[in-house]
Amino acid sequence: MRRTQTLLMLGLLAAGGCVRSRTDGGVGLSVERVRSDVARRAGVGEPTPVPAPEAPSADPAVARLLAEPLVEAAAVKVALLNNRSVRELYERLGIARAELLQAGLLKNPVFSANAKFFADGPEIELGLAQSFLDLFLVPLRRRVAAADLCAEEAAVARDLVRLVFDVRRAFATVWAGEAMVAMRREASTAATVSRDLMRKLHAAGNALDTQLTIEEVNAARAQLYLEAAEALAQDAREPLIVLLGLSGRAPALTVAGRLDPPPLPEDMGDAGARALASSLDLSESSARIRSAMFRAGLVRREAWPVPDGGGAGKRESAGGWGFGPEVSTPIPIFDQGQARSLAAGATLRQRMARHAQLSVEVESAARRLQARLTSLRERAHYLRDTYLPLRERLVKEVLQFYNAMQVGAFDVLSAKQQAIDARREYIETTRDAWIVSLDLQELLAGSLNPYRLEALPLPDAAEHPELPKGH
Amino acid sequence: MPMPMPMPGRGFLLAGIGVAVMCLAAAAADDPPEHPPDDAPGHEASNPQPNGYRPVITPNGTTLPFRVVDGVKVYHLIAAAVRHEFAPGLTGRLWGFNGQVHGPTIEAVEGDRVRIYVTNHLPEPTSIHWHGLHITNGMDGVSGMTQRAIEPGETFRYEFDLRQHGTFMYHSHHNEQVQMAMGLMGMFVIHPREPGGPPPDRDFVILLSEWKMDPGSERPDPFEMIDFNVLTFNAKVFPATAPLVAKIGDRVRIRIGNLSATDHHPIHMHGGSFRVIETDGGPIPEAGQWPETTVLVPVGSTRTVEFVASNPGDWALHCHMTHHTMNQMGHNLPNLTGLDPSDFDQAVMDLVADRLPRNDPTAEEGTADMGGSPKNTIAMLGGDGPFGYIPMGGMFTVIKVRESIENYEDPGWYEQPEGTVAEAATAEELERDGIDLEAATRPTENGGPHATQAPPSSPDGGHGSPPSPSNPEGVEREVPPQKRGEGHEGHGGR
Repeated sequence: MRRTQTLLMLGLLAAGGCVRSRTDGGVGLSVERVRSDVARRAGVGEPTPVPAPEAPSADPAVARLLAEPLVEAAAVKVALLNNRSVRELYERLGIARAELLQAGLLKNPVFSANAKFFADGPEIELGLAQSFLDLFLVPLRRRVAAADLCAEEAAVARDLVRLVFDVRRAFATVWAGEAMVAMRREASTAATVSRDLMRKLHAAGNALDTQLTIEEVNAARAQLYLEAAEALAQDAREPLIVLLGLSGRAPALTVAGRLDPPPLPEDMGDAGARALASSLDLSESSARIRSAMFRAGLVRREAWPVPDGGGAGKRESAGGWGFGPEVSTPIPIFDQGQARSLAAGATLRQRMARHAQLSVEVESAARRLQARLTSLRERAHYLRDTYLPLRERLVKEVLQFYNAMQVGAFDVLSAKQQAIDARREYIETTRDAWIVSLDLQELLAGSLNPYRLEALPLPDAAEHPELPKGH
Repeated sequence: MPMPMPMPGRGFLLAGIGVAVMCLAAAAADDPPEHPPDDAPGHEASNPQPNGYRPVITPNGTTLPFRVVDGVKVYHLIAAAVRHEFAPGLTGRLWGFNGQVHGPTIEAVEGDRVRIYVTNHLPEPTSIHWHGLHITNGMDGVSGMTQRAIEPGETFRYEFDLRQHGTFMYHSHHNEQVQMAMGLMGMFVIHPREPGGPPPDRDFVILLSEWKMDPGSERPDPFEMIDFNVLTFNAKVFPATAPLVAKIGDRVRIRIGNLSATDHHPIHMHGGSFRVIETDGGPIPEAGQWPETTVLVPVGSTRTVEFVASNPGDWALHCHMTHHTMNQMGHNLPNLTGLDPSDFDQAVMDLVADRLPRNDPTAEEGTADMGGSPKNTIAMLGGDGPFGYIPMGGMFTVIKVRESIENYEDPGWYEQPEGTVAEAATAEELERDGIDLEAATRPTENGGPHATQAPPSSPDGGHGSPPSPSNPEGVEREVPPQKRGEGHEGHGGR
């Protein structure tokens, strides 16, 4: 364990060299690096400009993208251009860059003046002191700040990656909601047609009141399901609108989606290793460890009894000036920096432990999401290629029995309604498969999103088919 | 007195071996070959035998050949799986005798001693009961009670004297509800040793039975007890039932047996009347016979009717239970009577995109039928006739009486003499006879139309009652029949 920690620390120190060399740039350099990194990791294409702090919605590029039916890639671009939290995230880089700059500055020298007035004239003392310790501590402080900047860059990149995939998930949810509305509308139409036919039958004196009531109930239930689906679809649009940063009147988004199961991400062989290698969470964690390590060294140095040095001049009341050096130093009798050193050491070990645990969580999440995706994709494919065709075949076979005058129109309509309802399971499963695919892609792009690891609910099973028995 | 053998002994044996091999193969695979073409001599004139009896005709069936060994008539029945065609479009995986369903008619003469070998190539035990015969108890064929069951692969010998004459039957008496539902039955005709008069000119045998064959299935459902949907004359449904052909002046005898599971059948003849001359209990004295047009044949009984063919034409002979003259009729349909069925068709078509009109033979030519019907079904179908579609099936056949025919082959449809066919009335005829169609559509107090004949002028000079206040028009109007439905309304008005 101790050997592992030593190796990890050596590695982190080696990595720190790169960080130091990168901290020479300004904020723009950090932003540019993050933008490029996010574009590459999240598959956005060209890096998008940083949103202006003022009225980003006025960006003509946003208006142009919103004018067309919104596809997923366009939604991501709109979010990156228009969502204020993107600006907020980039500002974190400015703060970190400022702290790095601050860490490189020496403390200002201290000038002191002292005058005392005697009968025979004033006595004046002048002094100029500079902390010598600062000369040793500034490089260490810069290392700490550089590591913190590095951590912030990783964290901002991760949060932007998460934003991209939040948009994609919200988009998939909206698309699935609209597909569900279409399905429920079709089911409601079928139930309404069935009810209307029964009304005719009833009006002709050929059906019982109860038979009509059953059809009325079925049609009402289908209408309720339709209204619920419409409400859910409307509700699902708001998270997307928020992510796109759109304000004012609810924009009329026309979402273009897909009804096929998602493809498998490339190179799924060792998703755990890929997730570890690309994890921005681990990059941030590594930078935080470096920061803590440098801070521990800094704390130890700060405890050194290095005197402040300077010069002092004094004018005696008699009128003559005298000059000479001045040294002051703390005497580490009581506070030898033990507490700060202990805290710094504990913080370092805390971050190392967290890093190790985070590695376990990243690897586990990759396995879990990979297994979920495999299962959901298989289920979606099975539903699309086997189950739904079987339901349609059942409709056709019931139709043949209708043709052969063995069953009535209500049986055909009932079979059709069941076939329509079976599509609900496919829509839900396909939606879940897409979302889990996005979860996994997000992880492989560097973002471990703990909210996405909550258990997935299983969709309700479709109704069991029944042989028509006639009315 | 020994009868001449209809088939030489060597031929009989070869045929028997052939049938046995065929049935063995069929039983092994449980997928029997197609029923061989009917070779019944049903439509040629049959001459009386030397002792005076004229062989019976089993429409769509055959008579079991026999040979005489030491004065005993020897028959051989082989029970096995058979694929049988009820009518083109509907075949069943059934059980039969000697490769056919039902089994061939056994024909003998009162006083004969018969020896009937029964070979079981079924996948389960069986036994044969000789229905209505006065025989020794051990030959009665009730498995478990008067004999042990015939195991698969075994051949049993039944031997007894025929002490009576008349129309009888034979059928399985082991696991009856399954084996009879699968077709194991046949007719047994015993001619009188000393007939009281000349034999009939035409002597037909018809065995009634019923099956449950869901559209799309291939095997009868032996668990059905009530809802039978294939009702057969000699295991055929119209339009595959062979016609009964007779000449004017022929004395026609029809022997009808009923081995249906639960239904008695009132068999009705058009164009004349008959007398019931005997049952499976024996002849009915003349004093007990009276003219009938319908004879009720109860389950497990035979009725023999006779008449002289005197009225030329094509005359229906059918069960008068209306649902028994439909093929694979569905009973779970909504009642669309009084409604426009096309509304329902259109609704279905709109929701099921590839829905097209059903396989209705009255549909206009060229109409696509992508929806189709279940495989292996003739649901609701009838047959073509000289004036259009005949919406009949099941227990329906045609007695064809002709004035001058050279033989008893199917003479085709009757050529109706001019002016003897019902047809649409002309306006002149209606006017001549005082039929006021306009008045016929005016409302009456109960909402229905007037009588079709115009009444004498009413005091107010009008015709009929005024509309009721609650029903200003006063008429409950029925939807006019659909063109497609003409002649083929079917259940539910479609």
